[in-house]
Amino acid sequence: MNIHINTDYSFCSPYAFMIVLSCVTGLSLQYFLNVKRGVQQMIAGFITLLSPIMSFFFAILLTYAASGGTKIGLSSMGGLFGMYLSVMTLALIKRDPVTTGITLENCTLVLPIIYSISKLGCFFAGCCHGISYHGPCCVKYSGKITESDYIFPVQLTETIVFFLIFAIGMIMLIKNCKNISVFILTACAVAKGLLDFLRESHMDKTISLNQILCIIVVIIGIIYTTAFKRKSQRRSLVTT
Amino acid sequence: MKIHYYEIRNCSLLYYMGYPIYLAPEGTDESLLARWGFTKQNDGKWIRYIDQFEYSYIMQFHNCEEVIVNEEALKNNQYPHFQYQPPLYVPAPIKDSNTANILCTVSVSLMLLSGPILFTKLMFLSGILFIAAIVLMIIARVGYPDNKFAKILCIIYVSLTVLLFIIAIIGTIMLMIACNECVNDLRSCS
Repeated sequence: MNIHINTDYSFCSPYAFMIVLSCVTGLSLQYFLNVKRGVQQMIAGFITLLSPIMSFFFAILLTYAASGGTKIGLSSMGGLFGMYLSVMTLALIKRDPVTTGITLENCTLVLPIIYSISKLGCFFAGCCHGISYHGPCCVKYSGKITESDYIFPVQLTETIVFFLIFAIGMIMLIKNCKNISVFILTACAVAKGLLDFLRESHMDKTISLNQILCIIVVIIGIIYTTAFKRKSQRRSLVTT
Repeated sequence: MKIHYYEIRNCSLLYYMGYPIYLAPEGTDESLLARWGFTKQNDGKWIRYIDQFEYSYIMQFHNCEEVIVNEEALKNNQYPHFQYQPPLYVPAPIKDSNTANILCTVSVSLMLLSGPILFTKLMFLSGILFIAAIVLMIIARVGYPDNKFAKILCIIYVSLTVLLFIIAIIGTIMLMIACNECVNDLRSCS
Protein backbone atom coordinates (compact mmCIF):
# COMPACT_ATOMS: atom_id res chain seq x y z
CA MET A 1 0.00 0.00 0.00
CA ASN A 2 1.44 3.35 -1.03
CA ILE A 3 0.56 6.70 0.50
CA HIS A 4 0.18 9.79 -1.63
CA ILE A 5 0.15 13.23 -0.07
CA ASN A 6 -0.44 16.40 -2.01
CA THR A 7 1.10 19.27 -0.04
CA ASP A 8 -0.46 21.98 -2.20
CA TYR A 9 -3.10 22.75 0.39
CA SER A 10 -5.73 25.18 -0.79
CA PHE A 11 -5.86 27.00 2.56
CA CYS A 12 -2.86 26.26 4.76
CA SER A 13 -0.61 23.32 5.69
CA PRO A 14 -1.76 21.48 8.85
CA TYR A 15 1.76 21.80 10.29
CA ALA A 16 0.98 24.81 12.51
CA PHE A 17 -2.26 23.22 13.76
CA MET A 18 -0.45 20.02 14.71
CA ILE A 19 2.29 21.91 16.59
CA VAL A 20 -0.36 23.86 18.53
CA LEU A 21 -2.37 20.68 19.16
CA SER A 22 0.71 18.83 20.43
CA CYS A 23 1.56 21.67 22.84
CA VAL A 24 -1.99 22.01 24.13
CA THR A 25 -2.34 18.24 24.62
CA GLY A 26 1.05 17.88 26.32
CA LEU A 27 0.69 20.87 28.63
CA SER A 28 -2.88 20.00 29.63
CA LEU A 29 -1.84 16.44 30.39
CA GLN A 30 1.19 17.62 32.33
CA TYR A 31 -0.97 19.98 34.45
CA PHE A 32 -3.57 17.25 35.02
CA LEU A 33 -0.94 14.69 36.08
CA ASN A 34 0.81 17.17 38.38
CA VAL A 35 -2.41 18.15 40.16
CA LYS A 36 -3.66 14.55 40.28
CA ARG A 37 -0.39 13.42 41.87
CA GLY A 38 -0.54 16.02 44.63
CA VAL A 39 1.55 18.88 43.29
CA GLN A 40 0.33 22.27 44.52
CA GLN A 41 -1.99 23.83 41.92
CA MET A 42 0.02 27.06 41.84
CA ILE A 43 3.26 25.20 41.11
CA ALA A 44 1.55 23.07 38.45
CA GLY A 45 0.18 26.26 36.88
CA PHE A 46 3.58 27.95 36.84
CA ILE A 47 5.13 24.90 35.17
CA THR A 48 2.39 25.10 32.51
CA LEU A 49 3.13 28.81 32.08
CA LEU A 50 6.90 28.48 31.87
CA SER A 51 7.13 25.25 29.80
CA PRO A 52 5.84 26.56 26.43
CA ILE A 53 7.87 29.79 26.72
CA MET A 54 11.14 28.00 27.46
CA SER A 55 10.42 25.18 24.98
CA PHE A 56 9.79 27.55 22.06
CA PHE A 57 12.72 29.75 23.02
CA PHE A 58 15.23 26.90 23.16
CA ALA A 59 13.67 25.10 20.15
CA ILE A 60 14.28 28.22 18.02
CA LEU A 61 17.65 29.02 19.64
CA LEU A 62 19.09 25.54 18.93
CA THR A 63 18.10 25.66 15.24
CA TYR A 64 19.53 29.16 14.95
CA ALA A 65 22.79 28.22 16.70
CA ALA A 66 23.20 24.88 14.87
CA SER A 67 22.77 26.56 11.49
CA GLY A 68 25.28 29.26 12.32
CA GLY A 69 22.63 31.96 12.49
CA THR A 70 21.16 31.32 9.05
CA LYS A 71 17.97 29.38 9.84
CA ILE A 72 14.99 29.84 12.13
CA GLY A 73 12.93 26.76 12.97
CA LEU A 74 11.78 24.49 15.76
CA SER A 75 14.16 21.84 17.07
CA SER A 76 12.63 19.02 19.11
CA MET A 77 15.79 18.64 21.20
CA GLY A 78 15.74 22.34 22.04
CA GLY A 79 12.08 22.01 23.04
CA LEU A 80 12.93 19.06 25.26
CA PHE A 81 15.69 21.06 26.95
CA GLY A 82 13.27 23.94 27.53
CA MET A 83 10.65 21.66 29.08
CA TYR A 84 13.14 20.21 31.57
CA LEU A 85 14.64 23.60 32.32
CA SER A 86 11.20 24.98 33.22
CA VAL A 87 10.56 22.08 35.62
CA MET A 88 14.05 22.44 37.12
CA THR A 89 13.51 26.19 37.57
CA LEU A 90 10.36 25.54 39.59
CA ALA A 91 12.22 22.80 41.51
CA LEU A 92 14.94 25.29 42.47
CA ILE A 93 12.32 27.83 43.57
CA LYS A 94 10.16 25.35 45.50
CA ARG A 95 13.06 23.26 46.91
CA ASP A 96 10.88 20.24 47.65
CA PRO A 97 12.44 16.93 46.52
CA VAL A 98 9.08 15.10 46.41
CA THR A 99 7.50 17.74 44.14
CA THR A 100 10.65 17.82 42.00
CA GLY A 101 10.56 14.05 41.50
CA ILE A 102 6.88 14.02 40.54
CA THR A 103 7.07 17.01 38.19
CA LEU A 104 10.16 15.66 36.45
CA GLU A 105 8.49 12.29 35.96
CA ASN A 106 5.31 13.91 34.61
CA CYS A 107 7.36 16.06 32.24
CA THR A 108 9.11 12.94 30.94
CA LEU A 109 5.75 11.16 30.60
CA VAL A 110 4.20 13.80 28.30
CA LEU A 111 7.22 14.33 26.05
CA PRO A 112 6.51 11.34 23.74
CA ILE A 113 2.90 12.42 23.10
CA ILE A 114 3.98 15.99 22.25
CA TYR A 115 6.56 14.65 19.81
CA SER A 116 4.16 12.08 18.40
CA ILE A 117 1.50 14.66 17.49
CA SER A 118 3.99 17.23 16.21
CA LYS A 119 5.49 14.64 13.83
CA LEU A 120 2.06 14.20 12.25
CA GLY A 121 2.38 17.86 11.26
CA CYS A 122 5.73 17.11 9.58
CA PHE A 123 4.17 14.11 7.83
CA PHE A 124 1.37 16.17 6.30
CA ALA A 125 3.65 19.11 5.49
CA GLY A 126 6.32 16.88 3.89
CA CYS A 127 9.24 18.21 5.91
CA CYS A 128 11.89 16.11 7.76
CA HIS A 129 11.13 13.30 5.30
CA GLY A 130 12.78 9.92 4.90
CA ILE A 131 15.22 8.20 2.56
CA SER A 132 14.27 6.76 -0.80
CA TYR A 133 12.17 3.61 -0.31
CA HIS A 134 9.87 1.51 -2.51
CA GLY A 135 8.54 -1.02 0.02
CA PRO A 136 5.12 -1.20 1.68
CA CYS A 137 3.61 2.07 2.99
CA CYS A 138 6.07 4.18 1.01
CA VAL A 139 5.06 7.83 0.63
CA LYS A 140 5.04 10.01 -2.43
CA TYR A 141 4.72 13.73 -2.00
CA SER A 142 3.36 15.80 -4.81
CA GLY A 143 3.55 19.52 -4.42
CA LYS A 144 5.40 22.52 -5.65
CA ILE A 145 8.00 22.44 -2.86
CA THR A 146 7.88 18.89 -1.54
CA GLU A 147 7.72 16.87 -4.78
CA SER A 148 9.59 13.62 -4.22
CA ASP A 149 10.12 10.05 -5.32
CA TYR A 150 8.78 7.22 -3.14
CA ILE A 151 10.27 7.65 0.33
CA PHE A 152 10.19 6.03 3.75
CA PRO A 153 7.41 7.44 6.02
CA VAL A 154 9.84 8.22 8.84
CA GLN A 155 7.58 10.90 10.38
CA LEU A 156 4.60 8.51 10.56
CA THR A 157 6.85 5.82 12.06
CA GLU A 158 7.99 8.32 14.69
CA THR A 159 4.36 9.20 15.48
CA ILE A 160 3.47 5.54 16.04
CA VAL A 161 6.65 4.63 17.96
CA PHE A 162 6.44 7.64 20.28
CA PHE A 163 2.73 7.11 20.88
CA LEU A 164 3.51 3.53 21.92
CA ILE A 165 6.25 4.77 24.29
CA PHE A 166 3.73 7.22 25.78
CA ALA A 167 1.11 4.48 26.18
CA ILE A 168 3.60 2.14 27.87
CA GLY A 169 4.68 5.00 30.17
CA MET A 170 1.07 5.66 31.21
CA ILE A 171 0.47 1.96 31.87
CA MET A 172 3.66 1.89 33.99
CA LEU A 173 2.38 4.90 35.94
CA ILE A 174 -1.02 3.32 36.55
CA LYS A 175 0.66 0.11 37.71
CA ASN A 176 3.00 2.09 40.02
CA CYS A 177 6.09 0.78 38.28
CA LYS A 178 9.50 2.19 39.13
CA ASN A 179 12.02 3.82 36.80
CA ILE A 180 9.36 5.22 34.43
CA SER A 181 11.51 8.24 33.58
CA VAL A 182 14.57 6.14 32.81
CA PHE A 183 12.52 3.85 30.58
CA ILE A 184 10.87 6.71 28.64
CA LEU A 185 14.07 8.73 28.26
CA THR A 186 16.04 5.72 27.07
CA ALA A 187 13.28 4.50 24.75
CA CYS A 188 12.76 7.97 23.25
CA ALA A 189 16.46 8.65 22.75
CA VAL A 190 17.08 5.21 21.21
CA ALA A 191 14.02 5.50 18.94
CA LYS A 192 14.89 9.01 17.80
CA GLY A 193 18.56 8.18 17.38
CA LEU A 194 17.84 5.10 15.26
CA LEU A 195 15.02 6.64 13.21
CA ASP A 196 17.31 9.55 12.38
CA PHE A 197 19.27 7.14 10.15
CA LEU A 198 16.16 6.87 7.96
CA ARG A 199 16.00 10.62 7.27
CA GLU A 200 17.15 12.06 4.00
CA SER A 201 19.03 14.82 5.83
CA HIS A 202 21.19 12.14 7.49
CA MET A 203 22.44 10.72 4.19
CA ASP A 204 25.66 12.75 4.04
CA LYS A 205 26.48 12.46 7.76
CA THR A 206 27.94 9.72 9.96
CA ILE A 207 26.19 11.02 13.07
CA SER A 208 23.79 13.94 13.29
CA LEU A 209 23.55 16.62 15.97
CA ASN A 210 20.23 15.08 17.08
CA GLN A 211 21.90 11.71 17.62
CA ILE A 212 24.71 13.27 19.67
CA LEU A 213 22.13 15.10 21.79
CA CYS A 214 20.14 11.85 22.20
CA ILE A 215 23.19 10.12 23.65
CA ILE A 216 23.81 13.07 26.00
CA VAL A 217 20.13 13.04 27.11
CA VAL A 218 20.30 9.34 28.01
CA ILE A 219 23.53 9.79 29.99
CA ILE A 220 22.26 12.88 31.87
CA GLY A 221 18.87 11.24 32.51
CA ILE A 222 20.36 8.10 33.99
CA ILE A 223 22.92 9.97 36.11
CA TYR A 224 20.31 12.41 37.44
CA THR A 225 17.73 9.71 38.19
CA THR A 226 20.28 7.60 40.04
CA ALA A 227 21.54 10.59 42.03
CA PHE A 228 17.99 11.77 42.82
CA LYS A 229 16.94 8.30 43.97
CA ARG A 230 19.87 8.08 46.37
CA LYS A 231 19.03 11.52 47.76
CA SER A 232 15.37 10.53 48.23
CA GLN A 233 16.34 7.35 50.04
CA ARG A 234 18.49 9.37 52.45
CA ARG A 235 15.53 11.62 53.17
CA SER A 236 13.24 8.70 53.89
CA LEU A 237 10.23 10.16 55.66
CA VAL A 238 9.26 7.44 58.06
CA THR A 239 11.58 7.17 61.02
CA THR A 240 11.01 5.22 64.16
CA MET B 1 2.50 -3.21 68.96
CA LYS B 2 0.46 -4.27 65.92
CA ILE B 3 -2.62 -2.26 65.07
CA HIS B 4 -5.47 -3.58 62.95
CA TYR B 5 -6.90 -0.40 61.49
CA TYR B 6 -10.28 -1.32 60.00
CA GLU B 7 -9.41 -3.58 57.04
CA ILE B 8 -5.67 -2.84 57.18
CA ARG B 9 -4.06 -5.54 59.27
CA ASN B 10 -0.73 -5.40 61.14
CA CYS B 11 -0.02 -1.68 60.96
CA SER B 12 2.81 -0.29 63.07
CA LEU B 13 2.68 2.78 65.29
CA LEU B 14 5.48 5.19 64.50
CA TYR B 15 6.23 8.85 64.99
CA TYR B 16 7.01 11.25 62.21
CA MET B 17 8.20 14.72 63.23
CA GLY B 18 6.49 14.28 66.58
CA TYR B 19 3.16 13.12 65.16
CA PRO B 20 1.96 9.54 65.52
CA ILE B 21 1.31 7.65 62.28
CA TYR B 22 0.13 4.23 61.15
CA LEU B 23 2.65 2.50 58.90
CA ALA B 24 0.98 -0.06 56.66
CA PRO B 25 2.81 -3.39 56.18
CA GLU B 26 4.46 -3.93 52.82
CA GLY B 27 2.44 -5.79 50.24
CA THR B 28 -0.95 -4.44 51.36
CA ASP B 29 -3.38 -3.76 48.54
CA GLU B 30 -2.79 -0.13 47.51
CA SER B 31 -6.38 0.58 46.52
CA LEU B 32 -7.48 -0.59 49.99
CA LEU B 33 -4.86 1.66 51.62
CA ALA B 34 -5.97 4.63 49.53
CA ARG B 35 -9.58 3.96 50.49
CA TRP B 36 -8.69 4.12 54.20
CA GLY B 37 -6.87 7.40 53.86
CA PHE B 38 -3.28 6.18 53.71
CA THR B 39 -0.87 8.15 51.54
CA LYS B 40 2.13 6.85 49.67
CA GLN B 41 5.44 8.44 50.55
CA ASN B 42 8.40 8.99 48.28
CA ASP B 43 10.10 5.86 49.60
CA GLY B 44 7.05 3.72 48.73
CA LYS B 45 5.77 3.41 52.31
CA TRP B 46 2.07 4.01 53.05
CA ILE B 47 1.27 6.05 56.15
CA ARG B 48 -1.75 7.62 57.83
CA TYR B 49 -1.70 10.26 60.53
CA ILE B 50 -3.38 9.32 63.80
CA ASP B 51 -5.67 11.91 65.36
CA GLN B 52 -5.86 12.65 69.09
CA PHE B 53 -9.01 10.55 69.47
CA GLU B 54 -7.54 7.40 67.93
CA TYR B 55 -4.24 7.97 69.70
CA SER B 56 -6.03 8.22 73.01
CA TYR B 57 -7.76 4.91 72.31
CA ILE B 58 -4.58 3.12 71.17
CA MET B 59 -2.59 4.32 74.18
CA GLN B 60 -5.06 2.69 76.53
CA PHE B 61 -3.69 -0.61 75.22
CA HIS B 62 -0.03 0.37 74.94
CA ASN B 63 1.01 -2.74 76.82
CA CYS B 64 -0.90 -5.06 74.48
CA GLU B 65 0.63 -6.71 71.45
CA GLU B 66 -2.38 -6.13 69.22
CA VAL B 67 -4.97 -3.35 69.11
CA ILE B 68 -8.06 -3.28 66.93
CA VAL B 69 -9.12 0.15 65.72
CA ASN B 70 -12.52 0.34 64.11
CA GLU B 71 -15.76 2.25 64.45
CA GLU B 72 -17.17 -0.05 67.11
CA ALA B 73 -14.02 0.07 69.22
CA LEU B 74 -13.72 3.84 69.03
CA LYS B 75 -17.37 4.29 69.96
CA ASN B 76 -16.71 3.51 73.64
CA ASN B 77 -13.50 5.46 73.87
CA GLN B 78 -13.15 7.99 76.66
CA TYR B 79 -11.61 11.14 75.31
CA PRO B 80 -8.94 12.21 76.12
CA HIS B 81 -7.06 9.74 78.26
CA PHE B 82 -3.82 10.15 76.46
CA GLN B 83 -2.70 12.96 74.24
CA TYR B 84 0.41 13.18 72.23
CA GLN B 85 2.37 16.36 72.55
CA PRO B 86 2.33 18.12 69.21
CA PRO B 87 5.77 19.36 68.30
CA LEU B 88 6.36 22.98 69.03
CA TYR B 89 6.78 24.83 65.84
CA VAL B 90 8.28 28.26 65.81
CA PRO B 91 5.80 30.43 63.94
CA ALA B 92 7.03 31.21 60.48
CA PRO B 93 8.62 34.63 60.47
CA ILE B 94 6.71 37.24 58.54
CA LYS B 95 8.72 37.58 55.40
CA ASP B 96 9.90 40.93 54.34
CA SER B 97 7.39 42.14 51.77
CA ASN B 98 9.92 44.68 50.57
CA THR B 99 11.99 41.90 49.01
CA ALA B 100 8.94 40.78 47.02
CA ASN B 101 8.37 44.35 45.83
CA ILE B 102 12.01 44.63 44.72
CA LEU B 103 11.74 41.30 42.85
CA CYS B 104 8.53 42.48 41.14
CA THR B 105 10.04 45.85 40.22
CA VAL B 106 13.09 44.18 38.64
CA SER B 107 10.73 41.77 36.86
CA VAL B 108 8.66 44.64 35.39
CA SER B 109 11.85 46.44 34.30
CA LEU B 110 13.13 43.32 32.51
CA MET B 111 9.75 42.77 30.86
CA LEU B 112 9.61 46.37 29.63
CA LEU B 113 13.19 46.11 28.36
CA SER B 114 12.49 42.87 26.48
CA GLY B 115 9.87 44.55 24.23
CA PRO B 116 12.05 47.06 22.31
CA ILE B 117 15.02 44.64 22.06
CA LEU B 118 12.84 42.11 20.19
CA PHE B 119 13.02 44.22 17.04
CA THR B 120 16.81 44.56 17.06
CA LYS B 121 19.59 42.10 16.23
CA LEU B 122 19.56 40.99 19.88
CA MET B 123 16.19 39.24 19.63
CA PHE B 124 17.36 36.22 21.64
CA LEU B 125 18.37 38.53 24.49
CA SER B 126 14.76 39.71 24.46
CA GLY B 127 13.63 36.11 25.02
CA ILE B 128 16.08 35.68 27.91
CA LEU B 129 14.82 38.92 29.53
CA PHE B 130 11.19 37.80 29.06
CA ILE B 131 11.91 34.43 30.73
CA ALA B 132 13.90 36.12 33.53
CA ALA B 133 10.99 38.50 34.19
CA ILE B 134 8.55 35.60 34.52
CA VAL B 135 10.93 33.59 36.73
CA LEU B 136 11.36 36.57 39.08
CA MET B 137 7.59 36.94 39.29
CA ILE B 138 7.29 33.22 40.14
CA ILE B 139 9.98 33.56 42.87
CA ALA B 140 8.05 36.47 44.38
CA ARG B 141 4.71 34.66 44.09
CA VAL B 142 5.96 31.38 45.63
CA GLY B 143 8.12 32.99 48.32
CA TYR B 144 5.66 35.73 49.29
CA PRO B 145 2.16 34.40 48.53
CA ASP B 146 0.40 37.35 50.22
CA ASN B 147 2.19 40.08 48.33
CA LYS B 148 -0.35 42.02 46.23
CA PHE B 149 2.19 43.34 43.72
CA ALA B 150 3.25 39.76 42.93
CA LYS B 151 -0.40 38.68 42.61
CA ILE B 152 -1.25 41.48 40.17
CA LEU B 153 1.95 40.88 38.21
CA CYS B 154 1.12 37.17 37.98
CA ILE B 155 -2.29 37.91 36.46
CA ILE B 156 -0.77 40.42 34.00
CA TYR B 157 2.02 38.03 32.91
CA VAL B 158 -0.33 35.07 32.46
CA SER B 159 -2.69 37.22 30.36
CA LEU B 160 0.25 38.61 28.40
CA THR B 161 1.69 35.15 27.70
CA VAL B 162 -1.68 33.80 26.56
CA LEU B 163 -2.15 36.88 24.34
CA LEU B 164 1.35 36.52 22.86
CA PHE B 165 0.75 32.84 22.09
CA ILE B 166 -2.57 33.60 20.39
CA ILE B 167 -0.90 36.36 18.33
CA ALA B 168 2.02 34.02 17.48
CA ILE B 169 -0.34 31.23 16.39
CA ILE B 170 -2.54 33.53 14.29
CA GLY B 171 0.58 35.21 12.84
CA THR B 172 2.13 31.86 11.88
CA ILE B 173 -1.10 30.65 10.28
CA MET B 174 -1.48 33.94 8.35
CA LEU B 175 2.14 33.66 7.19
CA MET B 176 1.60 30.07 6.07
CA ILE B 177 -1.56 31.02 4.19
CA ALA B 178 0.33 33.88 2.51
CA CYS B 179 3.23 31.59 1.55
CA ASN B 180 0.78 28.96 0.32
CA GLU B 181 -0.99 31.46 -1.91
CA CYS B 182 2.34 32.81 -3.13
CA VAL B 183 3.48 29.31 -4.14
CA ASN B 184 0.14 28.62 -5.85
CA ASP B 185 0.38 31.92 -7.77
CA LEU B 186 3.94 31.12 -8.87
CA ARG B 187 2.77 27.77 -10.16
CA SER B 188 0.00 29.35 -12.18
CA CYS B 189 2.60 31.69 -13.76
CA SER B 190 4.78 28.83 -15.02
